[in-house]
Amino acid sequence: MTDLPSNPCDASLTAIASALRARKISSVEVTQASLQRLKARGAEMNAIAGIDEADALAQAERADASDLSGPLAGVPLSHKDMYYRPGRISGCGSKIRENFMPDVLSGALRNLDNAGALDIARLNMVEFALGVTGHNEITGNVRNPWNPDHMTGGSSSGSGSMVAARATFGALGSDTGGSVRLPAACCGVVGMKVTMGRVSRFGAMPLSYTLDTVGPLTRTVRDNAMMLAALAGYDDNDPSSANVPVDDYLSGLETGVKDLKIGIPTSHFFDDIDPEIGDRFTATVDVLKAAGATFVDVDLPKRIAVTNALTSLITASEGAALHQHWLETRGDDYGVQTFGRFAGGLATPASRYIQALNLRTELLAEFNEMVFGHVDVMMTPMMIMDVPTIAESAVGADEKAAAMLAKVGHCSRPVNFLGLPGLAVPSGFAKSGLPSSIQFVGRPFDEATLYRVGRAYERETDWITHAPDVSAWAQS
Amino acid sequence: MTIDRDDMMTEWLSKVQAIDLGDRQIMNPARTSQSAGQIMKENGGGMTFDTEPAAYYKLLRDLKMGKSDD
Repeated sequence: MTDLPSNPCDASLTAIASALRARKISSVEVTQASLQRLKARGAEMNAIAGIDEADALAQAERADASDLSGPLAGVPLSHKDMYYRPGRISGCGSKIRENFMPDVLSGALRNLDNAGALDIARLNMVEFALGVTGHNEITGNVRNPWNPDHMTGGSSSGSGSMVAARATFGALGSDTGGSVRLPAACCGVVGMKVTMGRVSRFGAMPLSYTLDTVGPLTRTVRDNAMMLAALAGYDDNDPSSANVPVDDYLSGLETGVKDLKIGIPTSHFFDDIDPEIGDRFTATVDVLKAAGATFVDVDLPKRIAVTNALTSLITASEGAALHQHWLETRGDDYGVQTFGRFAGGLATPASRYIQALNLRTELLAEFNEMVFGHVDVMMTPMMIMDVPTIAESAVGADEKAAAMLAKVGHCSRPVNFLGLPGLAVPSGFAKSGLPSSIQFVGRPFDEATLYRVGRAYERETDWITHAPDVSAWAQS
Repeated sequence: MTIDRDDMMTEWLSKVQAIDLGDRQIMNPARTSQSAGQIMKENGGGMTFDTEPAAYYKLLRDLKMGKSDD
């Protein structure tokens, strides 16, 4: 085991879990360091929804007194403020639920508890998770540690920001249209959108019954695989949970890509791409080619082009069904953007909504044959543009706003529509200094291969060693 | 925002809405210039008779199990 950095928060989740197991450091020491960073950097980045320091330290003391047998034993984590824990507020980034006290424990938190992880802070998020830019008119915008004038991506904005700022070792997000992968991309961290049904959604705030997924954001691919290993599995409490075997995400992580065939899509994912982002993508392909992967072009179903719109349509329709009562009785308690997006969903004809759902089956079958009949993994940019500023993406609910949202989610939403796993991995930095990111898309429930490819790329580059200088922003 | 009769949004907004929307902005749920009806008509929505949304979940599981051709 290598020596830990002077501040344990600068270690990876993997390294800190190992150090804790070996009792090279105590959970109390690690938790105190994480609390300090969450309070300082979290305040600078407006990323904190709530911290109970006394409870966090009590959890750490209990961990130190235990046999530290779980894979995440004693590791302090912080999560998007939408995972229910009895007796603790789950505000969902909203005014409407600012004092909501759930009476159930979410399946995701239960699994992390069982792995020995601590849960020490609630992180800010987009209001009711409806938005990919990270804006929140109620709790304020979370700031990007690489440059606080730029958006974090959403809706897991606090998760992306605090993982990037080395304030937490890992964080839960949720991904309905890109809400794990886009904050991961904008903040330069790793984010996994799992296959529909892979991780329990029980006790997680719903946005879209048919699209919501729960997934982790971490600094490294291995950290992400460790978190998902703890999270994945069947849960009888979640009607959409899939009772299929969970792969071993860690054992094949270092086996490389020499036997893998990676597909580059010939349509949709490069539409209107910023030339600099396109060049960065080409550079990532070259790295994986040098590592031994075989690349081929793959044609996609023509209808892939409409999946961005259909994902939004389904989300708005299901979200409107969930929110109609509050839209009618507490409309003024929503932000302008959130109200405008939900209210639009009220007018979707039921027949069209159901037809959109049925198209998922047709397109998944078609996509699976056309892509995974030829390759093991598909690779795309995570975004087709550099990370916009908060001002550039601070739009209302008009046509301009719709265009911005569609552009930000251009590469993420098709993966949600199909229900496939997608992994966002940092791929360097644009001239602006903001992170760039690539996406690996896999067969249903084949998260393990995505981690393998992601790790192969990560190993050949040094992007994960770069950390944002948050102190510079604090003084500005 | 594009509205067509197929979506009945105009009628809904003017006659049957349960909510006083005031002068708030309302976004097309598909976030495009096309209505849900136009999108479906152009992409074969509703053209498969014997199907239901739950078939999607079965297909995901079957693809994992290698049973997609059954």
